[in-house]
Amino acid sequence: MGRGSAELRDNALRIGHRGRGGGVRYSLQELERATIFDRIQSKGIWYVNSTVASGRPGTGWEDAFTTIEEAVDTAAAGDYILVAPLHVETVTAAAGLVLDKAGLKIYGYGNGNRRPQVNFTTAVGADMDVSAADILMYNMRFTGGVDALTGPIDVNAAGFTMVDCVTEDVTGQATDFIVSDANADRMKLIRWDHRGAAAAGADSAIQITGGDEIVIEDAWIYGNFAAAGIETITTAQVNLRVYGGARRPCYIWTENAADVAITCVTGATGDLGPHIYARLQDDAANVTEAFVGDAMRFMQPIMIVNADGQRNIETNITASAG
Amino acid sequence: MQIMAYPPRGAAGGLSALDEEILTVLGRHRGTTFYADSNASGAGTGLNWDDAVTSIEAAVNKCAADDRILVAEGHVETITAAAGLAIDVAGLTVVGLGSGDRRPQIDTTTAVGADTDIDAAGITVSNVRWTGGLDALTGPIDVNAADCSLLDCVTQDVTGQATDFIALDANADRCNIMRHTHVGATAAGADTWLTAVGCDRLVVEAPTVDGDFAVGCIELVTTACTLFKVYGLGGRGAFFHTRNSADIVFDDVVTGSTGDVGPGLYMMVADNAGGTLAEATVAATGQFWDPIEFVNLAGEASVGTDIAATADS
Repeated sequence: MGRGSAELRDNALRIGHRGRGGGVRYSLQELERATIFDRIQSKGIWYVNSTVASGRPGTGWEDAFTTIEEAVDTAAAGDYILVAPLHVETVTAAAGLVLDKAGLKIYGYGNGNRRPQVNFTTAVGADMDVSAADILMYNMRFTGGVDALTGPIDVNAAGFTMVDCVTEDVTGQATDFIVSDANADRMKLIRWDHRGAAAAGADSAIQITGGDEIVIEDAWIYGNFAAAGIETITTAQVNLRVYGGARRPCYIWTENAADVAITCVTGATGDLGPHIYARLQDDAANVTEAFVGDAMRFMQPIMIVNADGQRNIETNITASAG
Repeated sequence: MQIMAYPPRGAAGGLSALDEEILTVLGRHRGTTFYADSNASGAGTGLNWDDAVTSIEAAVNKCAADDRILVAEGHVETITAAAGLAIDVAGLTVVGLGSGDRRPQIDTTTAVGADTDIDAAGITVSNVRWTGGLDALTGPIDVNAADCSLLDCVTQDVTGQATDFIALDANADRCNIMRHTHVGATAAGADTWLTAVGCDRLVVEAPTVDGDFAVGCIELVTTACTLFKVYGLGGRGAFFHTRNSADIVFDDVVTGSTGDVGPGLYMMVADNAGGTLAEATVAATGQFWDPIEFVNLAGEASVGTDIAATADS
């Protein structure tokens, strides 16, 4: 990457090592490890910014590509794609954005809604296909610009990792915002924030078909889900894990009378919890049914509230006997 | 999540390989870095430490969108009027250097309306200490724009008490306040640490708040806030200590706000009295997540909130 250790050190110092009041953030050992890590990278870096003129080579912020698609087409496996704040990319058709280079690392810059935005619109099948292994996306915001999108993020390859990203209904509701098929082994969604619409129309925030060792960590999921916030279907998962508490709680809030936070297909194995906090719509006998998985393990605390102003109770799924 | 102050993660609080990579790549941010140091005496270009500008305000005035400002440890800036410091460039990141009270200090004094205005979207301020140098300040930190963050910052009463130290208006959607420390005065005079009017998706993560709050440590007032979150799980808890006999920590005064209170809240209230537990956190249309623990007398162990629990029926 052409990044010197001085840059890494400076960056680490600026971001955290000295810049904290609560004590030293990184140990010397960690910084040293980061420096070594930096030196073994020698990949290309491509820049993307929709606000610059088109036709540039993508080799710097001033010469950035105007689309992620363009950068992906140019990149080699394992390259880095850096995307500017306020970048907007519009996807209007199926496979309108295809991530098909293994090991790509796509980083968005910007805080909150200044993050790069990928907006899906025009056709309900418009989507971003993740079709090569081990792709990373960091700090991006995906918006649904048309009602009834059928999976605008479509993961069809192993090792996809999404960190600090937002999915958001803007017009209507995506039916399922993220869909993954049986190739999506080891998918990791870390601190994913799904901002669904309050109105009905969605089935789920994510629909997972098959897949081994999938992890959803510290997610915040809000919407009106006829199926569930997280839904697995058709083919059983192996060692699916959904939990909170790594850095923040996992909150799931469904406004739908189905009152299901997570439902796993029969035979799916893995762990739900700990530290999942689920708000249901109806003040009714729905606590046991909020989490479904006949072969899953339920790790407390898995907390549920089903009416305004109330305190949680734990799931009352049958406990193991001592 | 923010591009600066990316938190250490992993089982031991260390860095994973992914964390290291993210930190490294973020160093390729496109903006310019400016430097502020009240002790500098160079050319004042703001382009390096030797030629640092002497105020954050001067640095902000040099910035374009998405630039960064590094503020030296030991820096002191005095705000004497409303909008005395206006951080009004979108996407700006202001990072203070130094530990404890060697962090950059912004002292608000002279006029009760003196304040720091955070007025453009996507601004992050990290590791800065605001002090109240005058009694009855009416919001020395005033957030009026979306997607702003205060990370690892301190607010502190020095002379008297700020009435409300941080004020968020209806434009302050998606405001993140993380690992904040508020050192309020032990004497009466404050209403709140944080008052929010009608903002959406406010996140308050793991603060430590101490003061004498007539209304509550946090109040949502006038216009309902939607989908707020106040919690302390992960890394450290959220600790609140109110020394006022109102005995209120969190209060949705307006009623109708939606969101999550807890988990991971630990509270000390002033009065060793019956009925102080359920009333300490008020959110008629929110939900409460255990653990929400209270102590109302020093030397005692905590008890959980006795707010009515959900029924499976």
